[in-house]
Amino acid sequence: MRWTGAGQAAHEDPRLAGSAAAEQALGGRDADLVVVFAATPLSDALAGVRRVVGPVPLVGCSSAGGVLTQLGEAADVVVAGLGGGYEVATAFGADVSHAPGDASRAAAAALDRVGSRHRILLLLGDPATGKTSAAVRGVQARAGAAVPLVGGFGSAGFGHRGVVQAHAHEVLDDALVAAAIGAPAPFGVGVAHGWHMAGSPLVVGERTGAEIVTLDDEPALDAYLATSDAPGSVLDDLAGFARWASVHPLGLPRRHGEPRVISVVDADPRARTLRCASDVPRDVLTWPLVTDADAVAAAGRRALAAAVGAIDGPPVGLLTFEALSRRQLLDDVRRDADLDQTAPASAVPLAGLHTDAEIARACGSHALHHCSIAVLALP
Amino acid sequence: MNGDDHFDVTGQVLPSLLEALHEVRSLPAAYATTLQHLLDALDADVAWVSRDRDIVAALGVSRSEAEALRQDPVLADCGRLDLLAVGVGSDMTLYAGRSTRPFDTRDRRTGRAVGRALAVALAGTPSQEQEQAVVEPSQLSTMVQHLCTLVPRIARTEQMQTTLDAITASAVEVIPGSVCGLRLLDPADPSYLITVSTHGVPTTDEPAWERLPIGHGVGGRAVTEVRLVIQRDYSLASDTVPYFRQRRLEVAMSAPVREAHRTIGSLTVGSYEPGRDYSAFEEQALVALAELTSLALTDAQRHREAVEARRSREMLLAEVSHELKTPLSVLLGAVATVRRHAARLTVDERDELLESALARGRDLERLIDQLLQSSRSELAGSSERVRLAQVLEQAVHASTWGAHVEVAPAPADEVVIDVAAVRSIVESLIANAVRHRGEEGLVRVQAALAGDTLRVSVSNPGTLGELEPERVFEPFVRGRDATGHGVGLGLFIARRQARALGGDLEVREAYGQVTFTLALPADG
Repeated sequence: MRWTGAGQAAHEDPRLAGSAAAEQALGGRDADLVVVFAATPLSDALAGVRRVVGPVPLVGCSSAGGVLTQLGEAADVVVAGLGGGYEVATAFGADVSHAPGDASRAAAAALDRVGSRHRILLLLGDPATGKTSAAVRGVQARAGAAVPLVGGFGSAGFGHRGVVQAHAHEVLDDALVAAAIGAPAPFGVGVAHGWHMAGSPLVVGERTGAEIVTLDDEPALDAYLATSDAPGSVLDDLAGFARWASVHPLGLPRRHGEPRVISVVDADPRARTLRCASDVPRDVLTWPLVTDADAVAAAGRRALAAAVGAIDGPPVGLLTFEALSRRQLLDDVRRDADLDQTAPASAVPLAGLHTDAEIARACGSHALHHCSIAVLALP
Repeated sequence: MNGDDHFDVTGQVLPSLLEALHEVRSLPAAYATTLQHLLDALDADVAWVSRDRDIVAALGVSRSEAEALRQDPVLADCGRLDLLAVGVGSDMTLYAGRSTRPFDTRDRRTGRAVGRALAVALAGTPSQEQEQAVVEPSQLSTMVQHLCTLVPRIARTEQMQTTLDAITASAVEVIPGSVCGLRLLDPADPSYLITVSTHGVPTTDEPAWERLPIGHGVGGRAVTEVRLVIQRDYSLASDTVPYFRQRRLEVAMSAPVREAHRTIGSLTVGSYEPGRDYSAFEEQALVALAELTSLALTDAQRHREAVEARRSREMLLAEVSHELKTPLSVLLGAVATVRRHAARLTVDERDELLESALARGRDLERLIDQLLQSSRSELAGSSERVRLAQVLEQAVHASTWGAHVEVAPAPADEVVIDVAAVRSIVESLIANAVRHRGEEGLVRVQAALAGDTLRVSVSNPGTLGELEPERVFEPFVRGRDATGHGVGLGLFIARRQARALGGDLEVREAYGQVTFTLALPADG
């Protein structure tokens, strides 16, 4: 009988927080996979978790943006345990910033050791590599269209702090960590963001990868600030600009469904350029995106409903990967209330990670998302 | 505002694909780049390239899995795929498979644009057999630069004339030493083309080359033959434009320009340089520019349609309010009279009032049914492969007028169409024809497949009277000779359905017959 368990803890000593969360999640059971999300130093939290869980497959990620707990309580560490018959293999790829293709192939190789009829690849990564698109592309190419993907790049927060990943006993940076999970029933994946296009479009002119140099033939930063009606003080400090930009993304229209979000993460006030979270195509029209708390909350419900609706029967567990920008738009009470309403049973464990980029693909080609919430429903 | 109202995703994919292809220097890399862009543009699950029927590259699946999908397009945990195939040159085909929804006309257009970009790039990419690329990198760079500038301009729907002028100017830049002209069908006389933009040709001589009969000259032949036409030794050939022949044009080539699914003109370049011939790259470049012209014109058409649809919706709302209120007033009046004066009414008077209320109620029910159908008419259904004859048989047998309808033997072809929608349109046309056929007239139905266009025509004896042909498609318009209970929404809905499917519905009157012709894109 497959089961999941969730535990969360806050303590000034991250080791104790890790141990407490792990004990709560596993309750003395042997797990097939342990997932650790930490808002405190991951190496210390991991040591605490390891003391409790023993030598089981483990993956994890830190987030300066925080972790999401089942009950909406403040926590430093969240642990999710999966057991009772999941087939699991883990792997990681290193040096993503220099060799994203090799790293993603190494991570996706975890799939080779899982033979279940239904499989999913859980991915946790570092947003600071600047190669999030290439890493996810590489995994897609290796995994193929029949394997769904879910996960996220832990949030570096608005102060751009380092994000690290955990694999087995190791803590890694500049890495992509993967857990291939197999089960006899299909997994459910849902993703949504709730933003829509508004106002006049801007043409992306000169750009290099994820850096936009000109918009509408003007310096990109100036055109962006004008179109997003930014206050003069927004460039006073880096964190302030990042906080502003996280709720003022740009978007590319798609033929069906929600627009593709281009998340602006940084600016160079001297060169007047913008840095985005992933590569931006040249010569495309981008629109300012707008939303409100209701639309963002509704997107959360849609993502949950899509994930839960894709599996047979009620899920035994949910994992969420939620953009940090959503926390600015939704107060905690509303977010937890929305998730509770949508969850099919109050007993479903819930653990989540605040992210800078979310990974979700069940069908179609778009796997990397921004300003979104991605949900995994475990069968 | 939704950007999709006036913006086609094809405009997004082309510049970045061309730029990416510009960087690649090997065939496998060109395939991989193209497949990735195709996958992204269509949000497809899988994509692959086949050459001489062998699968040479695949994305989302292995090559052997792609081979299996070609036979049975079912992907584990995603379900059945709809497959889109796009020809690239004579021996290569691009495929995409999508599980979430069937491909539509715009997807096909995007696929064709991606295929065209690959063809251009392949002209500049050394193949396994070739030591060197066909094209100098600088030439390819110029081409990419021009296309990249043109696409966003098209996407932003600038003034149409500005865009068309930019296209002819770009053609001369990309294909040096040439003059260029863009001709479109003359709206007043579609047997002629009129020149709408030129570059390098003196406008003072305009009367000499302004009009060209279709089927004649290089530009006219490209329209009728729907392919790239090249005329070498131009001044020695007889069927060429005298103005250019007299000035000893050496060579000319022309590519067809489309609007949606119709060929509506041609883009032509010519050179006076003695001994000049066009390279394979220049041929591909002209075709690519003609595709861009098609994109610009189709987007402009969509813009016009969007404005027209908004106007039509507003008009419909006003008409609907009136049409609903009239029977409702009668119905309420009859019921109120029966209730208020029940004691004074005779049994016959009461029955007559109730009968009238019932009849008006049924009118309302029919009207509401049709309006609901109209609101659903633009929702895409699912396409399936069927025999042409089967669709017609079902449409005729679904009606109660079979005895008045003669169906010409349909070709044995199978077509991929939205069966439910096509059947609904044909049923509406038959119902309309029966109502207007007079006492003894016979309704004739026939279907034909011409290229990738399915045509179904429904004729009845009669005339349109004083009605302008376009007026019959307006809501609540009925012919004076109509019999039966129609409220004038059938043809209005049928045309909306046809246009939602990427086709159109037209009417003409000749020799005492009124004929409605449904034209739809259909993959054979």
